[in-house]
Amino acid sequence: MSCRSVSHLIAAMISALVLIASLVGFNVYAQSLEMRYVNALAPLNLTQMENGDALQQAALQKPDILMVYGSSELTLLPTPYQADRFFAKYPTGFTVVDVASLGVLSVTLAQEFAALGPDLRGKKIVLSIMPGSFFINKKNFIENNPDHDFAMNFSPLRTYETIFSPYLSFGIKNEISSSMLIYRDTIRSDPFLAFALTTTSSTSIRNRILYYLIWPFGELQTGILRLQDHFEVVLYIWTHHLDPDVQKVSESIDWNTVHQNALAEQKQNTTDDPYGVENFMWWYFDRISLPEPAGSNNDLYRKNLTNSQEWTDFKILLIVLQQLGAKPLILSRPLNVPLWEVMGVTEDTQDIFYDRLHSVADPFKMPLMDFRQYDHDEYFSIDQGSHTSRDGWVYVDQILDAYYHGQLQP
Amino acid sequence: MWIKHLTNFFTAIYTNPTGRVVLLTLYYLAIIVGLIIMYGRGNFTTPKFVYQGF
Repeated sequence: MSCRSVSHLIAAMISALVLIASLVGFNVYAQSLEMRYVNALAPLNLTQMENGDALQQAALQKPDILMVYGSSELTLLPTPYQADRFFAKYPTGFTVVDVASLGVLSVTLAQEFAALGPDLRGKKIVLSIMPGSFFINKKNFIENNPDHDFAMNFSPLRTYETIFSPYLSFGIKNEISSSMLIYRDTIRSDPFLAFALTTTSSTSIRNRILYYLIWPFGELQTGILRLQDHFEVVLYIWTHHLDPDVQKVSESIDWNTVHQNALAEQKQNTTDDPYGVENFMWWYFDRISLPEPAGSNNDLYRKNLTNSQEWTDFKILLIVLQQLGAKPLILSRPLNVPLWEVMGVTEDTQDIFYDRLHSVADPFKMPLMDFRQYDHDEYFSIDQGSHTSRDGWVYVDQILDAYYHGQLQP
Repeated sequence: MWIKHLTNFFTAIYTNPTGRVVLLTLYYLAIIVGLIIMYGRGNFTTPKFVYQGF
């Protein structure tokens, strides 16, 4: 080998070493910066908190932050009673970070948790769900489009982390991949990811070998996405003047007074109808002739609830949490019984939701609050999907406070 | 004139084995940094909620 060739080789090796050392150094620096600023970043609802991992991993290390994961039940109604706002100044010693947006499916949440991997072990977190998420698309009933919802909350980083996670069994990765492939329109934007998912969704020996062959490339891509996630957070901190020492105001909460205020506000915002539906949601019901005959929609309710893919994916989500050793509180919402009744669904048919929920969740022996005792309270929810009302939020806040302080009554 | 001085300077370094390695390393690192600047940023945005006319 000529002297010149050797020079190229040595220079290339030094460059590679400098690159690797720089990236490792940046990773360490970014993590320390995230740990320092996470309390200040928590209330800002940053894209990186919703779609990245770095900030969530930092938040999970903080003992005064309670992470709450969910969907539109946490975000649809902006109100000071929402947990992240209610606990914003750490009144009882902690704050809440809502990791939620509209239309988050269980398979998306499963990826979120899978991406956090060992950071979840032994950690108290809250998994928020609501009955409305478990219905399939049906006009004039509960309407959502899972394809649209999946695309709206799709995170390539989390998908790569899930598929190539060393902390999950191949069996559960196989099930997640199968569920994700239902949404091919979104997946096919990344051909390598689509190939990885197809490979992982099969249990054949050929596909298992292919999985291990592409594993190094998957890990490499995951590493690149993780660094990009860190970079976005660091860039935000560099370009914004943030005080890492957040203001904390300790105070005792008079729950009765808070309830009275929230209920009064809720009633002021449901004046357009006699059913307790939030005014800005009433347009939806205004086109339906209510009340509908008793029991006239029982079959439709049963069909849309029991055939939903969400039940399968919810079970997958719980398996992921179990395999990662998390300590979640499953916080459901009550059915809006009076509203469903005027929509033509009798209460005994409505109860299929609770039966199904417990049949899926109870075997995991995770604490589950279904708030069933409030399902005749027309002011707990703002609609038939059980999006949380102002008064409903106060009940939720009380539970979160008790859960954080280890005072939750079974 | 200064270009000629610069050329002579780099030629002198390049003819030295150690200097050549240093120059090549800087050259490779410059390419890597350029690539990272051009293609390194990630995209973590998701499509906005679209009302679907239901």
